[in-house]
Amino acid sequence: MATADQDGLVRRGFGRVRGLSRRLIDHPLPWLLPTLVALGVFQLYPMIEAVTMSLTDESLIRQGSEFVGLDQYTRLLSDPEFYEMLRITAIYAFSSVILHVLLGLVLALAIDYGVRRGLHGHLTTRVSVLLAWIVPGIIIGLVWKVMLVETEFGAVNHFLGLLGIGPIPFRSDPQLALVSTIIAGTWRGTAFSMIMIYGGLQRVPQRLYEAARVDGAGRWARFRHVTLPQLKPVLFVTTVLVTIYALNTFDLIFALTGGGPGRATQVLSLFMYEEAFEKYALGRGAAIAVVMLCINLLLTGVYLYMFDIGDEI
Amino acid sequence: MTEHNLSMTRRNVLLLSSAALAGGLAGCSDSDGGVDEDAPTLTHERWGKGDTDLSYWTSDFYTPIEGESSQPAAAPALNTQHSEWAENHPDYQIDVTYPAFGQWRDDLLTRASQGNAPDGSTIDSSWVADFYEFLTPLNDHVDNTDDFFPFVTETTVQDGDLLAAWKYTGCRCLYYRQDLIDQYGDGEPPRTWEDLIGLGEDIADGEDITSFMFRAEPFDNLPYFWGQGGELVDEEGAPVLDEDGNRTAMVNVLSFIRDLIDSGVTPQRVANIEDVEDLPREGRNDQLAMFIGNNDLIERSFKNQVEDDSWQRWQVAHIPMMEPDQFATGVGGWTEGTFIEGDGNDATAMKEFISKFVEPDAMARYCAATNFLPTRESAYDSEFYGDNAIEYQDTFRELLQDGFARPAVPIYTTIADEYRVAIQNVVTGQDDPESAVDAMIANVNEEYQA
Repeated sequence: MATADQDGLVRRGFGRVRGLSRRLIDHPLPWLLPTLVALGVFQLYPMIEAVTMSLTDESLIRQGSEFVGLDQYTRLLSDPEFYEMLRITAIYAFSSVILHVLLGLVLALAIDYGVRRGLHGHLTTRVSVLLAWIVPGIIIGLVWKVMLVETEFGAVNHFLGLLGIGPIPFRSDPQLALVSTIIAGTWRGTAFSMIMIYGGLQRVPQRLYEAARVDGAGRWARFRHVTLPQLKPVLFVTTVLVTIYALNTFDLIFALTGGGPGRATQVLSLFMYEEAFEKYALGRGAAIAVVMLCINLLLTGVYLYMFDIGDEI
Repeated sequence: MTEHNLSMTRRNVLLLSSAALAGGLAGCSDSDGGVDEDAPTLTHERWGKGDTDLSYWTSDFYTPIEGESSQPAAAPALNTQHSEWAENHPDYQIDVTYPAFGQWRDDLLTRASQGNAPDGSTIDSSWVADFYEFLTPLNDHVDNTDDFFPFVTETTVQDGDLLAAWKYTGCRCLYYRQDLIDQYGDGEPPRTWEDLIGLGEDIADGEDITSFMFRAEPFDNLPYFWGQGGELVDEEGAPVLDEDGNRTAMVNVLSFIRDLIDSGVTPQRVANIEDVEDLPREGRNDQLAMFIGNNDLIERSFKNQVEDDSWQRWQVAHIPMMEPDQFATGVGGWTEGTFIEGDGNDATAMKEFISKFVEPDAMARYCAATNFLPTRESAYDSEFYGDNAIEYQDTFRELLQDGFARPAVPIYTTIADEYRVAIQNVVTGQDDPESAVDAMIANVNEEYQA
């Protein structure tokens, strides 16, 4: 009798454990927990630390720090050079987004066309473009720096010299220096946009094109009324990612121009590096980082509104 | 059975390997954790064989092991120096760490501010100011500090305490092609800015080469300012650029640089010259007549780079100044410092290790091997330096009398950065000299106030 009761207890115990396990397995939390922990430790915590640090006068060359409230932000916003850097960052980021997405779209369409028609060379094209994406930005910056040397020893000026042009001051002229950084960035970043958009093109149902053809739509009409609307979610994600990439670009500009001549190519990320790691003003560096984060979030919101795809992503 | 045997064999192999590894490691040490008597006194990671470790950060430029050194010529001199120390301190060994150069300063600062710095470290002379708070005095271990060139004590002595041992230096000078100076001038190098521009214009007209170049780096252009008596900071370390004489001196410098561009003596691309090798390379390729460079270039970039005697066309002189009676040069180099507190045996051993770097004979041996310049007069007279240790050493020794080090104050980083921006803005026409100086002063003062 006692044994039977004990067996019953054990069975009920096992039953409860099984029920609990099933509930746990059915609940999303255990599945999300590793990701949440990783995000918390590696993303959220550093972000909170940066915001906290931006409210102090913390410096690497001084022991201790004091809470200074919004002083770092007030100082930043009252600095006329900050607005000049903001302008340069905006020019760089806006040009980059336009060029990356536009060239990425053109390349993706060309490759998609080549694949559908069975043309040779589409794989080589994809690999060639991707190579630029694989190489680290600092190397790209150095390669372009060597190519743009302002004597006949620079590759670009050498070839221009053969045509009787130049030498062109690619890095010592303030305007040309900014253009050079945009071109080098585009040369590198277009591959990313191309891959994203090419992936999006593969998901466009062929029946939509066939239906459009039946309705008498030409190439441009098919592109405008079928391809572009179908690509909208991909274009949104690509634009957001390219914007974040462009706003945060550091390595390439650091290697290519170092922010010069003067401050002609000084973007916010370089400014942040200079403040935090050259002047050791960690509080101010953190404040610039928080401002950059806010700009990124703001632009993402703007894109979300512009693309009008809240339900599709 | 076969599998079982194989498994046993694998296990045996692993056990034997582990035993061999453990035995090998044990062979490196004696029973009480010290170093085996037969082990060499100096290895790449350890200098000395005593039981007490002293932690030390340096660069592989300064290892005494030739095969591991980025500067093999210096290894024998350092080997002699460290062996002497090890012999005199049998209870100690220096446990050497080679931090990555890019992170060295930051890591050392972080560790020092947390009270966790190594016992000693090699420190760039331009970093010394950042570590004033943490460095411990070397006064009792370095003799005759008056023997150092003035710029050394100005940087390393605080409140009477010698905080760093400046082991070698280098200085900026004017490099010029003697054959071109003979052809277009009177054979003498230009002494003033006016001489330089006049001579440069003649060379530019007569030769298809660049007349004069410099790096658009702050330190290469500060001698022009210092030569006029300009001061960047006061005794408290506060910036004084806005004082009348200093502001005028800075405007003079930037106006001179603008004149160089306008006259065609220097091209606009000077704004991008950063690498120290850029200018000697142009010089070797017969594309350049004069430039400002560091003293070691004559050996490293000319004498050792060309097979014939053409390097001898290149001579060195004082940097041209606004007036002929003005002299100044910028000096750099590396120092050694200790962070270990107190005056116990450990601190004494570390400080004696560090102070050996600036003993005249040790300094002379090192500098003669590396083409660097000693920082104290007595080292030039040492038997280990000699009369011909490096080319033009008498001129360089003379230049060092008017040496100016980077001001050892935290605000210098900002001053240098703003000066670089001002030079580039003036060179590229983004600013005129007056407004470039005013912007520089405003930014430096704002940073200092903050």
